[in-house]
This record gives sequence, C-alpha cells and structure tokens, in this order.
Amino acid sequence: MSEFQVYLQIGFDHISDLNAYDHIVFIIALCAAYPLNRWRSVLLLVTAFTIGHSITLALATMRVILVPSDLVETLILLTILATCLMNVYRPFEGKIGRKTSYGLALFFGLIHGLGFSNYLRALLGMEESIIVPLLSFNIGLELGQLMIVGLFTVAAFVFLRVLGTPHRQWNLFVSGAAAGVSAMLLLGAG
Amino acid sequence: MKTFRILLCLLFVPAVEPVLDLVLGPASVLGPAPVLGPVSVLGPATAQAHVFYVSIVRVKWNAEEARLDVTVRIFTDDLEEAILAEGGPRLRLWTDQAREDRDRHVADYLLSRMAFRVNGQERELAYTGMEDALDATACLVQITNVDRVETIEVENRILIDMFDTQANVMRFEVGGEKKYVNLGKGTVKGLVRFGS
Repeated sequence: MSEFQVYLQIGFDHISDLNAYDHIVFIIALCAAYPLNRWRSVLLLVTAFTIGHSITLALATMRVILVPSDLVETLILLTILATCLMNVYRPFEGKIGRKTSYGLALFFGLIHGLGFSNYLRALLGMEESIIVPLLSFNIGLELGQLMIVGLFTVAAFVFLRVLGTPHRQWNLFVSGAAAGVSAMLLLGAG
Repeated sequence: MKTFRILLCLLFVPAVEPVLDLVLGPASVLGPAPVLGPVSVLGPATAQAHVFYVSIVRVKWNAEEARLDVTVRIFTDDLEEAILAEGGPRLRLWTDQAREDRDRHVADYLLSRMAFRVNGQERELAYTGMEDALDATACLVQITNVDRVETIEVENRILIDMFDTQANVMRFEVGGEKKYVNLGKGTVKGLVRFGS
C-alpha cells in the first residue's frame, strides 16, 4: 500500500464514519435547502465548504494556527445549528443571498478543517513531509463528502419526486432532524 | 463576480488567526504548542461525536546504531481508556496530576499489543519513553541488534479490542525505502520486504 492510498483511506473513512457523524449531518443540512433542480448551487456550496476546510486543514496541520479540539468540536456543532436555522428562516434570499450562502459555507469549511487537522496533526509528527498525507487525506475527505451528497440526493429524489413531498416540507424535516442532533451533541449527550 | 466573492472570503483566513491569538494566546508555529488552559469555552466537549480512531506507528531502521526505532503515535485519551480497560489506573498524561508510574503502564500496554519478527526471527521490544504530541502521545520503542533488514513481520493489536473502526497505520523506512501497511480489526498482521 502506498502512503497516498493509506491517507486517502483514512480521510474517506473519517468523513463517512457513522460514529463521527457531525460532518455528515452538516453536509446533509447544507444540501437540504436546495431542490433537486438546483444541483449547481449544491455543487458550489460543497466546493466552497471544501476550499474552506482545505485551507485550515493545511494551515493547522503545518501548525500555523492551533485551536484546541474541544473548542473546534463545539464550533462545528454550532455551524450545523446555524445552517439548519438558516434553512428554516431563510435570512438570505435572491442573488446576493446565494452568494452569502457560499461565503458562509466557506467560512464553516474553515471551522471543519480545523477539526480534521487536529487529528491529522497529532498523528503525523513533524519529522517528515506532510504534503502527501495532507493531500491524500483531503482527497479522501472529498470523495467521502461526494458520497454523502450522492446518497442524500438519492433520498431527496425518493421523497421529492417519487413520493411528491413538497420541498419546503422536506427541508424542514431534514433541518429539524439535523438541528436536533447538533443540539443534543452541544448539550454533551452524544 | 461569484469567484471574486469567494476569493474575498479567503480574507477570513488571515482574520482568523489574530482573533484566535486574542482568545487563546499566541499560536506556536513550530514545536509543541503551549498549554492553552481550559478549552471548554462554549459548553461540554463532545469527543464522542467526532471520533477518529487511528494510530500511526513508524518503524525506522537506524543503520549506524543497528537498531529499529519504533514510534507509536496514539491519541492520548484512547491510550488512557485502553489502560483503564485493562484494569490499570487513570494516568492523566501531560497534566500536573500525571502518575509517577505512567511509563510502566504505557510500556506494559504497548508491548502486550505489538510483536515484531525481523528477518524471520521474533524480536524483543524495549520501551524507551514518550513525548507529548498535543492530542496524541508519541511512544518510543526500540529493537536493538538489527544489523540488516530484509523482512519485518508485525502484529499490531493496539486499541483493536477498544474500538471497532480502529485503524493502525504502519510506516516502515529502511535505507530510504518506505513501505506502508494499514492494519485494523480485520488484519492485525502485516509483512514488508526490503531490498528485493
């Protein structure tokens, strides 16, 4: 097995691990607000999120920034809660609103990247090049993320197209569930 | 325009660091970070939600000293849990209340979970110490009298009985040649060959 494959696998397993579901819940909350015909917006959002977490993943793994894990984990939960509330109350509408959403997804990505990196950094040490581990871990995260978006889209298709659920109801259902999960985790009941 | 906005948002990055500095004290660029004090600022931590069950073991041949240097990087909380589960004490590593006999417990745990065969021969592991690596602990182990390395067979059961999804990455380096093995619950043994 090559170094690339090892860290690709770890990245993929990390984001798709059902035991570490905070990222999964966040991605689902991010997608919930968009009907199927707005898949381009979903792609842009996920890309913005990816850019965000790639930046902090790199910076924090190289120890340019250091934020304690406990604080990062709390912040990650707050990003889920914020995303869910925005799905429900839709404070940003129209063209400018969309761009604000992308900016926020990027900002939230910055926070999630800190979460990924705290673990990676702890394990990598400083003795050798971290470029390959960092890159392959990140690509693994992306692949895992795309899989989650894909699976969620299938579920959304079933509810929205097959069962004919109105999108607003679907959005409220998913966002409510995600908000509940993050609230319980914030209260330390996870 | 869209791209421009996204680029604008990159400005968040330089903005983040000074703010964090303010809140958490200066971030260190190299080496171990300063202890940042109580970190649960916004409520209880939720370590369980964000679990990442990986350890990384580096095995590097030191030709001059005829020695294999093994570094086990393991999350400190996982290591402590595992020792507790064995009936050991809570070590409170890297705190003011760390136990005096911590090294003995860590050594007992690690050496009971790893076995090495070098060039087909079972070899003894000697624990030599540990270092704080922020969330993780780097434990140092040696195998002495290794004047050549052709094969290394390894068995690694670190944390395997603790967590279902535990992955134990093994990285071997012999004379510039690097090999990786990813071990876990399904596969606890690996074999690497060098110079062939």
